Amino acid sequence: MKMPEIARALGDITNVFDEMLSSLSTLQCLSDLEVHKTDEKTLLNDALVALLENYAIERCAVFLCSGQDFVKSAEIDWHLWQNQNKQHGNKQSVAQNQNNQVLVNIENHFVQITAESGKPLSSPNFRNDDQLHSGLNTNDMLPVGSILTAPIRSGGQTLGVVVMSHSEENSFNEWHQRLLILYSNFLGQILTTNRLMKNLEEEVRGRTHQLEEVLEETRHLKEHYETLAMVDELTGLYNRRFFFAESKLALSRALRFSHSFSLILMDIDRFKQVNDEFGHATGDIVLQDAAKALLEILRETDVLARVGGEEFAVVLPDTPEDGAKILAERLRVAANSLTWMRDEQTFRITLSLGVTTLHPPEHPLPASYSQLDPRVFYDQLYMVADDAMYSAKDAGGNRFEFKKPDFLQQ
Amino acid sequence: MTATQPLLSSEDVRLKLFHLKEIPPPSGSAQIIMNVAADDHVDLTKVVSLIEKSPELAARILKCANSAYYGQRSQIYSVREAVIRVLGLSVTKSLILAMALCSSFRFRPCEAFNKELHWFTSITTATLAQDLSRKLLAREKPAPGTAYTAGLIHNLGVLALLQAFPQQMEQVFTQNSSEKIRQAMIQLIGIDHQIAGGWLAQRWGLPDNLVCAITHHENPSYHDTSWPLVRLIGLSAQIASGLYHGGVTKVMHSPYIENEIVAQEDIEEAARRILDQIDKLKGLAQLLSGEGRN
Repeated sequence: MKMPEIARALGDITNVFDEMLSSLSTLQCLSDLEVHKTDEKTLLNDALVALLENYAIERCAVFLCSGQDFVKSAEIDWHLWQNQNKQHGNKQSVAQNQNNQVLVNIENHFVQITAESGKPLSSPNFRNDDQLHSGLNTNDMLPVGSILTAPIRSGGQTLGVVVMSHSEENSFNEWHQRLLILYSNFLGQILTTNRLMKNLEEEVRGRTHQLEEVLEETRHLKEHYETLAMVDELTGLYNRRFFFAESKLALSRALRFSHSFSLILMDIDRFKQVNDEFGHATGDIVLQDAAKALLEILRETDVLARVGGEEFAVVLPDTPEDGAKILAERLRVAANSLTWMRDEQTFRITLSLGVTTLHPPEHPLPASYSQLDPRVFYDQLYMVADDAMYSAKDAGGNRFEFKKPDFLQQ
Repeated sequence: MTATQPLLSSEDVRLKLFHLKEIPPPSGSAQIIMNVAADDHVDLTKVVSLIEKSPELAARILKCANSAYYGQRSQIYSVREAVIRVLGLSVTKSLILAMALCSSFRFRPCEAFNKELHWFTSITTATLAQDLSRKLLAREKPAPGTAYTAGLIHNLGVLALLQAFPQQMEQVFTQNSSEKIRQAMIQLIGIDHQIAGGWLAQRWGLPDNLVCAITHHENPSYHDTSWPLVRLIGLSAQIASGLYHGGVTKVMHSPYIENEIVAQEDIEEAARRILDQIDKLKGLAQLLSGEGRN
């Protein structure tokens, strides 16, 4: 081999190196695109800039499938782009503007053929390519010397077409052809990923909204049921469950802060007779009226509840023995002052009340306190009050009895 | 001058530059490049310093190193970085060997162009710019390596136009002052070497501040981005040209020297350092810029 031949061979290899470097650089830029964050338009534009910057392409465009048609979704022209990028003050030539409509027609023509065949298409010398001129008005000066297209495919579907064109003939070599196929495959993947992400995001957004609605509804229901769960439906007083929870809390507070604590249990005497004589409806009215009357006597901090059929209970936080006794008496009187008319006869009710008071415990708590589980403690106290109430009943009713919580050996 | 209108349309010019992939170095330097590139045991420093003496090789190496493929996070401004950090010795040697080989077989008709002056100005501008970058009276000083590169390739446009439009340039260089040469370029080709060089540098993906220096270095009141570098290159080029033609006295009387970016004594000192080795530089210029005989 002589020197000139070696030089030529080396020159060829260097060209291959350059082409490969450009191709790889283009693909490198594609791989750097923020597929997950960007919208489709920006994505396509960035992809075309990558092609233009790394590979000497004069004009390129992407057409995307939209229903039956292919719509130009992004395009970039080296001359205009260069000017925009660096304002060297060069004006776009008028000839190029006039050529635009012709260019659009040519591009559309090629896009149609490529989309139909699903194969890349190349016309290295378009001005003399009679076969590809059919259907075009070729009287105009053709702005395209060479043109190259490739379908953008993903999952067996043609998403669109990439078009590269150049004003000169034979502008594209085999490297351009190879690159464009690779490029459009990459672009297909990128578009699919982007669309999937977008769909996923929308779905997640939709589902999140649904969930939020359900959550809101649940919150309403929860509130509703919480009120229901606290209240006795007939009298509107707190129910047994709430009463026990609340009075246990009040007891622990009393213990912690060394306050006195009183508990009154009450039962309507011979209530069964009211039901038997006047019916359950009247019985219910009696219960409602009694509840209202009792409630009027009490302070806001006292918790009154209906804990059984005709049984009521009230917790009196921070109330010593004397106060509890006075209140018990007032409750007895209040209930006894109510009158009802049925079958032309008036009737009243009486209450039997059991009262107990826990005196302010000393500090530190005596061993007898701390040994007790607070719940057990409360149950014991309740039993003392219950005991007192039955003593009142045994003594004929319509009275209160007080009993000390002797289990503490006070 | 015969023509009053540009003979080429701006589209023609841009397309021609658009396709320009490399500028071969003068064939006179080919033998030297080949000797270095074909030596298996040559050390890196020698290869780097050879490329740093050739605007053609330097631009080509920077073009490659700035390719997106190499995925450098920041742009590459100096030959040293390009060779050491990006391309490696083997690729670099192959690239310059190919350029040198090709250049030996290329016919170069442009006789009027003073290759020696061009080479001398490029190297001296680079050296001065590197030297003075530290003395710059600006808050943002360009890195010395960047200043050297910018100086070396600041007239890339002249080389590009010579390569793309040898006939027109033959006519251009019959003019005898730099301003007349510039006007002739605009008349015959439609653009001057600054714009042509800027386009090419951008097309080749060279860093933005180098593009700016190439595009604007002849504007002494340039104020835009990278202005310290741009004006440093303008100043250095002016001094370099003065030194070629007549030495320090000539430099000191140049109107351009009344600048605000480097102190007068720093300029004189830098110019003297060049003068100390001016004969060696001119000799190198003759050797590296001449046309070989093969």
